[in-house]
Amino acid sequence: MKENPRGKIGLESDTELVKRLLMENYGHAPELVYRISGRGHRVYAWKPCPLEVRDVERRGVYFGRVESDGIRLSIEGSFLVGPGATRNVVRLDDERARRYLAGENVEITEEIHGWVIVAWRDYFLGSAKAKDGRLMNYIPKERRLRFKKSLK
Amino acid sequence: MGAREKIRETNPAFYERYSQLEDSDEFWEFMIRPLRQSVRVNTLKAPLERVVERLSEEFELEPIPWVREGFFIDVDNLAKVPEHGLGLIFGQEASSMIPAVVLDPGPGELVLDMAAAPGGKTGQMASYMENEGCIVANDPVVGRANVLIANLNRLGVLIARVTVREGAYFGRFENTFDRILLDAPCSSVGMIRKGWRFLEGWRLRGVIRYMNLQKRLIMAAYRALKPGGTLVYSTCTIDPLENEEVVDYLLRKTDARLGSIDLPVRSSEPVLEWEGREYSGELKKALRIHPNDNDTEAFFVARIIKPEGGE
Repeated sequence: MKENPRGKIGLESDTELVKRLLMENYGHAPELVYRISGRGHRVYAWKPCPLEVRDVERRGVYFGRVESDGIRLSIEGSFLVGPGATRNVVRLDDERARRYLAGENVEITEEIHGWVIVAWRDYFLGSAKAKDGRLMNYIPKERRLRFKKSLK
Repeated sequence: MGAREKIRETNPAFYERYSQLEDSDEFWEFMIRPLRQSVRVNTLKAPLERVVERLSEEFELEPIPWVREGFFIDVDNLAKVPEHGLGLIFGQEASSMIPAVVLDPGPGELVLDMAAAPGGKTGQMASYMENEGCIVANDPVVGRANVLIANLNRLGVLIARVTVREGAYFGRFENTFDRILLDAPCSSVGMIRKGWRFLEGWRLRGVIRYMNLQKRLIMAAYRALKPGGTLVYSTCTIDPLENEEVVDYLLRKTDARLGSIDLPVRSSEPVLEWEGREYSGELKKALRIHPNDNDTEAFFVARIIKPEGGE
């Protein structure tokens, strides 16, 4: 059984840990600064800035989460990793992409398990958990497609 | 009842003041006509051509002449567009895309966006910078800063530092930033097309309060600008006190110069005389946009240059 990556938080630098998990899971890790934050083990990513400004409220983007069995990417994280990813990418056709974007779980034919990047045409739809021939949906509610019209 | 009468009835002082600026039927009609939905394609996430190609399968797009990534789109609710949820397009008013085009930041530069919320222009600048360099994106109101953070996240901006400060705070970063955008808080006459409350709530004393704040902010912005750098001052209002008066104040107090703006956009003549005050002829280089010029919000944009070896 694979070890829980959350157990490694604090034992190595956040950036090193996140990049290692990205390489293991998706075969590509963008050169960014990563920070793991809070009990949700949320990952934020950014690029360095030459100017020191005090009391910064936020830098970079919400990149994803360290899960007990790998790393899940936000939509933004998937757009950063997806173009270079060499494994665990599942491509959806237009009909399944529409349903996935609307918040549904969708069926897949690939024999794959665990965290995957969901891709549609040139876009990336975040990470989903592949399990028993389905992708479990992780599109945030406020970002779901609200119009059930089929994509051409 | 015509537009002119509706406006006069709702806010007589507003009508009286701005009929001195322009008094065509067209001006008053466009002042209250609903805005067309427009979007900017976020090239940080996908190439422009691929997004346009996909969108065109489902929606009618009409290019906005003054910004390559800007389009009018025939949809009443952006939540129906997959690209919106994915952060590949951002709902942004067509004229509000002009300031970032005029500022023209490039990769690797250090940029200050002094009044950044809700973040459309910050995201646009990050696109032009190809997510390389640094943008300090500031807004003094916590609630607005949270909206800014959410939008910069959705757009995939990796180079922003969001701060919650009074804009004048940045005056202490003397000669620091390569480029600065001051899209100043204003009386929002241009926003009447989005909300009738902007007309109902308009008061001359508000205009004067904003003018004083804008003068403080533009002086701080100019101080923070590197010699040889560019500052863009913009508002979404038409009042000369918030536009020409503020830029004229800077020109009189410093060595600032104005640069010309060459864009395919129709505009109205800048105001060089108002209520007994005369403004610098340099202001002819500024862009004053009335709602009827391009069927957009009203806007004012000035490109300010700090000479090399300047303050």
